[in-house]
Amino acid sequence: MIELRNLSKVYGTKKALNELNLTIRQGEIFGFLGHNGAGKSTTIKSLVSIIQPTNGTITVDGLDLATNRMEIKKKIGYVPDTPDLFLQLTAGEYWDLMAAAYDIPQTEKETRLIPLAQLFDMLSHQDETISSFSHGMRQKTIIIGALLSDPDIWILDEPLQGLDPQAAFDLKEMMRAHADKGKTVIFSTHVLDTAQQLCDQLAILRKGELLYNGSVEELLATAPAESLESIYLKMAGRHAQEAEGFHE
Amino acid sequence: MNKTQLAELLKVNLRYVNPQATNKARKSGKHGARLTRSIVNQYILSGVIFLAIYGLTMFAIDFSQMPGFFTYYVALFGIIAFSQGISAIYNVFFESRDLVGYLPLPFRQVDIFIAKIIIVAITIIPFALPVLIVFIMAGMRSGIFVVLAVLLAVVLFVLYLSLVFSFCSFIVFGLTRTKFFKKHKQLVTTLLLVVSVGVAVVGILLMNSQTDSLGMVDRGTISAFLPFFYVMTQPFSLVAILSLGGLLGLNLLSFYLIKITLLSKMYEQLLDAAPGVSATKRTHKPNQNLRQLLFSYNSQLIRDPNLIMQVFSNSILMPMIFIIAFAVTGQINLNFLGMEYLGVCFTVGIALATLSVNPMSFVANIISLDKENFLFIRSLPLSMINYLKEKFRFASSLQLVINAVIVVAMGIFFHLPFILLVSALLGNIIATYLLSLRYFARDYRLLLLDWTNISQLFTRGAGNTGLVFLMMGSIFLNVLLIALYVVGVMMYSFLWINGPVFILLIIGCVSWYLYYQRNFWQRFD
Repeated sequence: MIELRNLSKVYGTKKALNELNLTIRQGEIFGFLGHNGAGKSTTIKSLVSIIQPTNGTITVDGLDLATNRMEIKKKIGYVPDTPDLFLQLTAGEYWDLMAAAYDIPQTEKETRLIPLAQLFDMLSHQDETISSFSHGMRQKTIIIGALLSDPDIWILDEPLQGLDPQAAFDLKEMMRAHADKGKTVIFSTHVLDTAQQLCDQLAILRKGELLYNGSVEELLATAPAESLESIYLKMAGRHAQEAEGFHE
Repeated sequence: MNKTQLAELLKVNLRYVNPQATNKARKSGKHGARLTRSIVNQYILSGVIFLAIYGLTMFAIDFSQMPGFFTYYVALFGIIAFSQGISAIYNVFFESRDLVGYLPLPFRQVDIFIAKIIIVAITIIPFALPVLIVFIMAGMRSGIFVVLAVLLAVVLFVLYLSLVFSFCSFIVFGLTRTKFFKKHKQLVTTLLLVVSVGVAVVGILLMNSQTDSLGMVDRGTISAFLPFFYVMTQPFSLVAILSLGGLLGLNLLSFYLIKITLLSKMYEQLLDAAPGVSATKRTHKPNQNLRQLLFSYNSQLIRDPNLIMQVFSNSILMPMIFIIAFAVTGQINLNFLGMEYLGVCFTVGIALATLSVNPMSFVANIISLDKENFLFIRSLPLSMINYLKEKFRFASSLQLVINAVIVVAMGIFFHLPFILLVSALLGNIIATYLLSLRYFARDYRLLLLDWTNISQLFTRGAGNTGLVFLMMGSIFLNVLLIALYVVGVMMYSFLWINGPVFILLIIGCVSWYLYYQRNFWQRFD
């Protein structure tokens, strides 16, 4: 279980996250929804130790992230929002780095890597530099690296961006299967259909504030005649912002 | 320490030091362990070449009898290594954009630190290698068994470098931890790099001002470096054993201090100092035309303190040190030179341009500084030739101003007659323009848009070794040509010597200009 308590992040005078409280349980796919700048990536980056929160705590299975960083990092496989990492390395070298980071023995690495690389059609590209890949191929390389250690918690920041339909379908299936095994999948998206299709639990953020936290079904039940898009836009869209004086 | 993780981190960082060389090795079919070996071998080879060059130049000096020269060289190259170390540590730790990739991964901070500091060492060692030669030669000339002398020299060299790097690490990590740095990052970065270069210049000038003797008479010793001398020349004496113990103790103390002060807070510090965390604002200037917008864009590209200092220390510093060093000693007064030296001064202007316009100048990197923007610009309905011409105009004008300042400073410090100064300035302007053409076209030919560390741009093509050879070669050729020209002026009449040189220069300049018009600019028409 992952718990975020009073999590805040301030850049200068701008509050990117304001006193966020969330509980993410095992066995569920948890989605973050929100406009650009809502705080989705800030929350995710805080979870994976890229950002140091200004205030608040994050605990994973009862362990405080601030004091158990290494142990928690080993449980997480992370896909960032932009797949432009380690561009000078070949895909194979990047996967070697991931294997070393997670202490995966060579034979085990091969056993896990081959089916993943085959699934994403990347096996024949392992000697090519990541800088020569398209956006989608970079994304696949990073996804394979993140899943190589078979982590309990998947944290995926807009993971479907740039993937071809087959890879997107396969990844969604894998996310579902992972959650069904009692493990955790956290992801952010702008695509409401994807959220509706995949998420067991949803958090809607706007300007660093949590607007909604619950299941998709519960959210849809608040306005049965309306679509998720319509409910979401009423909650976080332009009209809601204008009504609350957010308009700049 | 996790050896597997450290080895993997080293492997990755090695591929990043010189991506051009890495890509070249990849293209020749090297992968995995073979690729790593190939990169390491290149460093070993360049190390051996540097050792041979320094060894030959210092062979004549008997350091065992000259503690003054011994300590002078140890101090001199220590200062250079310190200056380079500051910028290398800042670059490798704080400017490299790979760090954010490591943050979510379960690597230990100490392993990331060690891997990166080894990479810093690899880039700095060539600057400090003469010290190893000084140690070895002092030992051998003292009559110590050769193998022991080499072993002792290597141990001392490692201790010496580790002290320099520890000192640099304390300064860089200490400064970047302050609240002032977090608030005024750009200002402090510039100050840090300026001060490190300034310390090097002042240190070198101070040491040079103590004596002007290059003969075999020893100079004053620098007592802080005498322990190295004792260990190398009389290793079994009590003073040498105490010195070695002291150096070891100092190293252990610095490792301990690094562990408790730097490593314990490194993660938080790297997070704080990582670039691009918060938004930056700039006042919008309305109603600018495309030319003004591109000028503004290009000036933003070079406004990176790290880039400015690298360019400054690598291309402008050398002529400035040369000029200031002579100016301080006040021995050169060229007021007596007559009109017959018009051509010589013109050539000196050219020579100064060749020193300051090189692969590390603004004009030699201005296209690659665009990064991904360059490819996007290609997709816009903009004339590529106009876009590149604006870039060239901006960078070459900047280079012309910098070089003109150097030449005018030289003229003033050396009391050069006005007409000769104008001649030098003219030679400098023409050479700067022509060299700018060459390096601008080279930047396009070796275009690198996915660089993460600015030094990747500088080492494109021939790499670090090539760069050093280019600098040394151009100094040697310039000195030779000027010396020959001066001899010619003394021996022949004005017209006989300056006439043919003038014609040769005109032909050379026009051919050069036409070559780049035809082979570079016309391809965009």
